[in-house]
Amino acid sequence: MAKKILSVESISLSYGQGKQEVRILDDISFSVNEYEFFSIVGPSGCGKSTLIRIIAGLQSPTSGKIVYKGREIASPTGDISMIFQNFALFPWKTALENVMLALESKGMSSEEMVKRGMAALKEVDLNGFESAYPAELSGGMKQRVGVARAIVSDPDLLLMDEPFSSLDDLTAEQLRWEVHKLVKDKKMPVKAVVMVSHNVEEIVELSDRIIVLSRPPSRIIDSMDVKLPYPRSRGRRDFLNVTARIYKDLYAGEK
Amino acid sequence: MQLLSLGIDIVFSWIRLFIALALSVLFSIFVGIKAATSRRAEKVILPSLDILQTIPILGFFPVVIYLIVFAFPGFIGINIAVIFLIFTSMVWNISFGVYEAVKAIPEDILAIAKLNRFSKFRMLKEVYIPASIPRMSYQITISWSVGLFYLVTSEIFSTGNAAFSVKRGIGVAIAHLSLSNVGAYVFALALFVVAVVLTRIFFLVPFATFSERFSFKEDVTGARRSRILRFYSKVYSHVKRLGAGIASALHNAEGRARTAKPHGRQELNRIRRARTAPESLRHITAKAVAALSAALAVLVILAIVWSGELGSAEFVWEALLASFARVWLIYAISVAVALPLGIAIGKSAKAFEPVMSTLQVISSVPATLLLPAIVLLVYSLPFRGELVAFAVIFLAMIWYLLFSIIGGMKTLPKQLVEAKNIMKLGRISAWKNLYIPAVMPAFITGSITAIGGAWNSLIVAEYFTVQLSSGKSVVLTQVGTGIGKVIDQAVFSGNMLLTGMALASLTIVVVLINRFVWQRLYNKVTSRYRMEV
Ligand SMILES: Nc1ncnc2c1ncn2[C@@H]1O[C@H](COP(=O)(O)OP(=O)(O)O)[C@@H](O)[C@H]1O
Ligand SMILES: [Mg+2]
Repeated sequence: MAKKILSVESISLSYGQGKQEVRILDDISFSVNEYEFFSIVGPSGCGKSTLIRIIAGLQSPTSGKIVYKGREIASPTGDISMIFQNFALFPWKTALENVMLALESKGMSSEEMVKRGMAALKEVDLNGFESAYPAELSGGMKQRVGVARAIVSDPDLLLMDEPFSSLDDLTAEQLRWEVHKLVKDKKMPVKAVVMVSHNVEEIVELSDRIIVLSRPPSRIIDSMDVKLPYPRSRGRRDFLNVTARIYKDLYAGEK
Repeated sequence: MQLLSLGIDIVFSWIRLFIALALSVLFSIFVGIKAATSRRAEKVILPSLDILQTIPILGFFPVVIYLIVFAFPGFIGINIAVIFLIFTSMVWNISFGVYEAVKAIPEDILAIAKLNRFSKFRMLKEVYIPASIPRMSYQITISWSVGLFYLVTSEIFSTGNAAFSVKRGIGVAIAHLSLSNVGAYVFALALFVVAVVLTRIFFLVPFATFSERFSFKEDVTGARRSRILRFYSKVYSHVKRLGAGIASALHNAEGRARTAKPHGRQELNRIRRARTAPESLRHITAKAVAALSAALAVLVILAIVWSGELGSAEFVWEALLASFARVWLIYAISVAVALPLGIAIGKSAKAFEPVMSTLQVISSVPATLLLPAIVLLVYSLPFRGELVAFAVIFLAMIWYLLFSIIGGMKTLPKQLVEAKNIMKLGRISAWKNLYIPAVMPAFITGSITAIGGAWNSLIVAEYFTVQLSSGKSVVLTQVGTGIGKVIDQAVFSGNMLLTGMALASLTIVVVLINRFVWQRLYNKVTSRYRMEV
């Protein structure tokens, strides 16, 4: 029996109050096990980003709770890290400084921080770019820095909000596999991944488990395990079966 | 009775303001669009605007009044002078706005216009003017506050000499009341604030709302974004478009980086070389500045030699030095106040709206109107003159700094704050690594305007007299020495040589500092600190 690392318990979230209340998330519950690549898919605006921010402790839900390694969390814990859709790099910091920033709260010596920062950049193929500023990097390279920053602090749980959506297809494809390699490699400390995306193929390509959200007020309308071997080829019938099922869910949710 | 009289005063003042505003808008549409659509016009107009907006116009006011009233004696002349002064305080800002807005029109829109063979007039009516409306609205809000300051200052200033006096105007009324009746003074101030708030509610805000529909940019976040934010995002998208070539170069670079891993550093160097594109416009402006300064310097030297008055040259430079020290000292203090305060206000989502509205109302009261109150407050203190000057300069500066820093905070992408939270950066680290760098570009822009405002305020801060209806002059403030005082006294004693020398020296110093300190700083900071949204 796999060990449970994260559980999301009856999370609901509304914006506004009284008559103007709009319910975005409606009673969402699921749990994520160790060494699981867990994904959430749903239409644009259904509250995926909101949900992942609640898991990260960046935002509090209207009701329900997040239990991480047996403890309820209300603010960022330090061993959960996140990759953002628009990279969220500090423009005035070099690639290395951006990555090292994630170590700042860990109480390390600066040599240690530099050493680990350089190692993380190497891990994402950015040798030689440590002194580059974000504006000097292409989208793909920026997101590599984003990945390096997310893994450098040896997080247990890695959250990703549309991590490949700002990249062109080729770059996204390449980076997807690199991230996959990084997190599936048991040498890496990352114990589990929660990814959010509206890209169905991408989700099926990477995930062990998938949940599908409806339009707001969003509920879980389907969930499935994907047992296909990696690397998954998008043209194969069993792959297409899974994507077809998700598309069907999403269309049904439209009505 | 008094209410009616003050009401009439306000109407007079507001008519002056609106005439100046209308003229500014007309001028901006013509000049801004011309500069944005013609390379040749751009080369002349941009550097000129740039210099004109740096010149401490208020310093010229005594001369302007003198000349215009000389040409058109009486009511007409003095009003032309006041309106002209307000115009000069409003117009450059709006012109730049129009220029940038027209420059930022998406290629597709221009292509459509071309395909449909729009005539010049239709281009103007259907493309250029509508495209500039959102920026114009934003700039008008700023220009309006600046104009208020110039309005009351020039009105009050005109009372310094009976021949030049504007008879009716809220500035004049308040200056007179302040000397006779504290209660009435406060009442008049309150009435002024009411007029400002009403203008905001019935003119500026509706205009801003109206202008929003002309915006090209769809609201991406869905959430309500402030006007400031949208303004910035538009500027950014403009910058982005310019960088499209660079982006494709970067893309290729990435492709190569993948295949040739060990050469990362070489790639980086190549990218850096590609990014430093020459900017011919900047060179032209620098040349224009150098030429202007040289010309003025020659004039000053000629004047000194011709008149044989080395003494007065020394006098002017001493005054300039004193004013320089005053301005920069107070700038340092204002920064120490505005930076933490602005960041704290910008950071807190809850306090933002109420605090902003309050600050906007407070800031709309020009320092000159508060002058009598300040004088009363510090009346018995030592260094009274310096203290009053300090307060006036501080008030002329602080709002620019504060509002630009708050505006800068509003452009801070939410994701960066979230990244900071996820990484659990401490409070000090967050300020050092995130907030302060994030507001840097806005802070520099704000500093440029603030210092400009400070130089302008010297003309009232350093020496200020109000003439009573009885004909008696009351000196409200007076410092030991300062360029503002020199100019004031030189004009009213009719010493044109000294006036010219003081004005030329002031202009040289201000323009040179702006060009060689601020512009450089700005270019440096924006190239690195600018956020890519
Ligand atoms: N601060 C807010 N106030 C009101 N509504 C919001 C706010 N933030 C997000 N929303 C709304 O919540 C919904 C979910 O947003 P989001 O989580 O970003 O969706 P997704 O990531 O699935 O596209 C959207 O409809 C959005 O407009
Ligand atoms: Mg989202």
